[in-house]
Amino acid sequence: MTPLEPRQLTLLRIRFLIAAMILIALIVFGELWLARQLWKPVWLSPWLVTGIAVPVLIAAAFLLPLRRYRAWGYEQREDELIVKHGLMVRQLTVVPFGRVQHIDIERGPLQRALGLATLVLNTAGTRGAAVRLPGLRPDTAEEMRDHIRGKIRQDLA
Amino acid sequence: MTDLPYGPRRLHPISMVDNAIKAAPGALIGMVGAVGVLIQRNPGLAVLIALGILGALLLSAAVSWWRFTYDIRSNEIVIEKGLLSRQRRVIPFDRVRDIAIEQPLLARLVGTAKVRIETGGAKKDEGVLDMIELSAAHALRDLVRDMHRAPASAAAAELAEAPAEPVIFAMTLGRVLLSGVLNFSLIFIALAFGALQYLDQLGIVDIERLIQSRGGGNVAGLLTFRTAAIVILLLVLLGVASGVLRTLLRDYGFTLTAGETGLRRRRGLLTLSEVVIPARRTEAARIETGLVGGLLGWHGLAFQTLGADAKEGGVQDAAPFARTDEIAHVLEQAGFPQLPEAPMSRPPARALIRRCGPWLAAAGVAAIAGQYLPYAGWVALALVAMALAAMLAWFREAHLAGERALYVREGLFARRLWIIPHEKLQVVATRRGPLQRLLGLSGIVPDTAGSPAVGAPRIADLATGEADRLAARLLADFYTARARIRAGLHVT
Repeated sequence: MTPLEPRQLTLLRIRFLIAAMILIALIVFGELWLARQLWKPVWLSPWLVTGIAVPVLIAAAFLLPLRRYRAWGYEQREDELIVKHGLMVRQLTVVPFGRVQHIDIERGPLQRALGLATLVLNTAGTRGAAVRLPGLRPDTAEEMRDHIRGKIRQDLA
Repeated sequence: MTDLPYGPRRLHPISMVDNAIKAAPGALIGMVGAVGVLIQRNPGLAVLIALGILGALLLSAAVSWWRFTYDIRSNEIVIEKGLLSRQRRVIPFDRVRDIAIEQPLLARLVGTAKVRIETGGAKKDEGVLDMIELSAAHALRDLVRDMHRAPASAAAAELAEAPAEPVIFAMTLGRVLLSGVLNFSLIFIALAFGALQYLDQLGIVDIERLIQSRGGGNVAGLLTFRTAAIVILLLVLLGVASGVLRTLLRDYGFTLTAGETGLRRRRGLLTLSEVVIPARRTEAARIETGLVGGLLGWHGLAFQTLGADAKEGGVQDAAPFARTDEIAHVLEQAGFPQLPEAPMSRPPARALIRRCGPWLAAAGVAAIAGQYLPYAGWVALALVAMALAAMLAWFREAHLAGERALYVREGLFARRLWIIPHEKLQVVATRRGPLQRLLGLSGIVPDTAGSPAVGAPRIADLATGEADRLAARLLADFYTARARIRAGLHVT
C-alpha cells in the first residue's frame, strides 16, 4: 500500500492542535467560571485540570495524528482504487473505476499551503457514495484523475 | 381515446381545488392563529384576515393553474409554468423511461389522473402533470411505449393498440385481506396517539376527557385488571383493523405485468396507481418474511430501484404477499437471479462475543448498581433482552456468493433476503472494528446504487481471511458479469 504524503501528517497535527486549542480554551474558561461560581477550593487549584489537559493533549498531538496517518493507505490498480483508513474501525474500500460517476479534487486553504490535495471518487452508491483519498500531491491527484477518466471513457465505449 | 399530439393545454380545472386543499392545512393554522389572537379585540379585522388568507389561497391556486400549460407534441412534451419567472421544460420522448399514472380519489371522481414522467434524471418531479384526462394519460403512455418498441414492430403496434401485457403476479381480494390481517402494526396506533396528543396540545381534543368517558373514570385512579385487558384487546383489534384498512387501500387489485421497459404495477382502492419498475435501473431484490406470515409461507418481494420514487425510498413492492414459487416466477420474468439454492454461510460463533458481550457486560454493571440504585435492576433486564435480540439477529444472518448474485440474509423478527446481482455492485468496503480485530473478524458492506440509508444489506461478521477472499471474489464477479453483459450474452 502506498502511504500518504508525509506532509499530510503535518496537516493532521495542525488540525489536531487547532481542536486541542479550542478544547483547552473551553477547559480554562470552565475552570475560571467554576472557581468564581461555586467555591474557592484550597486543595483544588483552578489550574489543575488545565495542568493535566495541556501536557496530555500535546503528547496526543504527536502520537494520535501519527497513528491516524499510518492507518491511511491506498493502492491504485489498473481498474480499481483501494483505500484503507480508520484507526478504531479499519476500513478497506475498493472502487472499480467503471463505477465512478464523477471525480473531484479538493484543496482547502491548509492543504494549499502545504501542497496537498484530496481526490474524491463519486459513485452512485449510498454508503460509499464518495470515497475520499486525502494527502496526495496535487500532480499525483491529477495523474490519478486522468487515469480514472480514461478508464471511465473505456467503460462507456 | 384522446388524439395526440395536441396544442398547449391547461390541466383540469379541478386541480385548482386539489391544490388549494393541499395548501390548506398550513394556511388554516395561520388562519386559526390570527383569528384566535384577534377575535376578542377586533372581530371585524379577524374575519377580514381570515377571508384574506382564504382569498390568497384560492387566487394563488387559480394563478398557478392559469400559468401552467403542457403540450404533447409528436416527439416531446413541453411544460411551461411560473407567474413572473416563466419556466419552460422540454422532455423529449426518447428520454422518457416511462409514464407513471396515479389516480387519487378526487382525480378519479372527475375522470382524470396524475401523470409522472420518469426520465433518467435523479431528481423527482421532473415532469408531473397533476390532473389531465385519463384518456390523455393513457394515450401518452401508449405513445411512449410505442417509441420504445423496435421500429419494425411499429406498424404492428398501430393495428393492435396497447397489447395486453402478460400478468405475472396478481392478488385476489381474499389475499389482500389476509395480508392486511398479518400487517397489523402497533406503530400505527402509536402514531395515532401521537396525533391525538398534538391535537390535545392545540386544544382541539381533550385526551383526558376522551379516555375518562370511555374507561368509566378508572384512568384517574388505578387501572383495574379488567380495564387493562379490555384496553389491550381494543388496541389489538384497532391494530388489526388499521392494518387491514391500510393494506386494502394500498394493495387492492394488485397486478404486476411484464412491460417493455420493466415490470408494471397497478394497485390501490381509492388512489389507483400505476408505476413501472424499470428493469435497467433495478439494482437489487429484497424478499421480506414477516414473523407470522413467514410461518404460513408468505413472503414479500420488492425491488430496489434508482430514482423511481423517492417517497418509497427507492424500494418498490413487486409482490408484497406471495408464495415462494410466485416470487421465483416474478424474479425470472424480471431477468433477476433466482433464490439461493446452495445453503448459505453463517457468521462464525465467536461473532456472538462481539454481539452479546458488550450488552451482557453492561447488564452486569447495571445488576451490581442495582444493589444501590432503584430501577437499575430493570435496566439490567432490558440489557439482557438486548443481548438476546443480538443473539437472535446473529442466528438469522447468512450470506452466499452465488454464480450470478450475492445473497445476504438478515433481520430480527422480520427476515430479509437481499439478492444483489454481481454486475450491480458499486463499491465494496471491508470494515473491522476494535472488537472485531481482537476476534479476527471483518464485516463487508456491498454498496449498490439507490440502497436505502438505513437497513441496507451488509455482512456484519466473517472470519477475516474469508472476508478478504469474499471481497476479492465480489470484485472479480463484478468484472465478469459486466463483461458478459457487454458481450450481450446475458441481458438484465
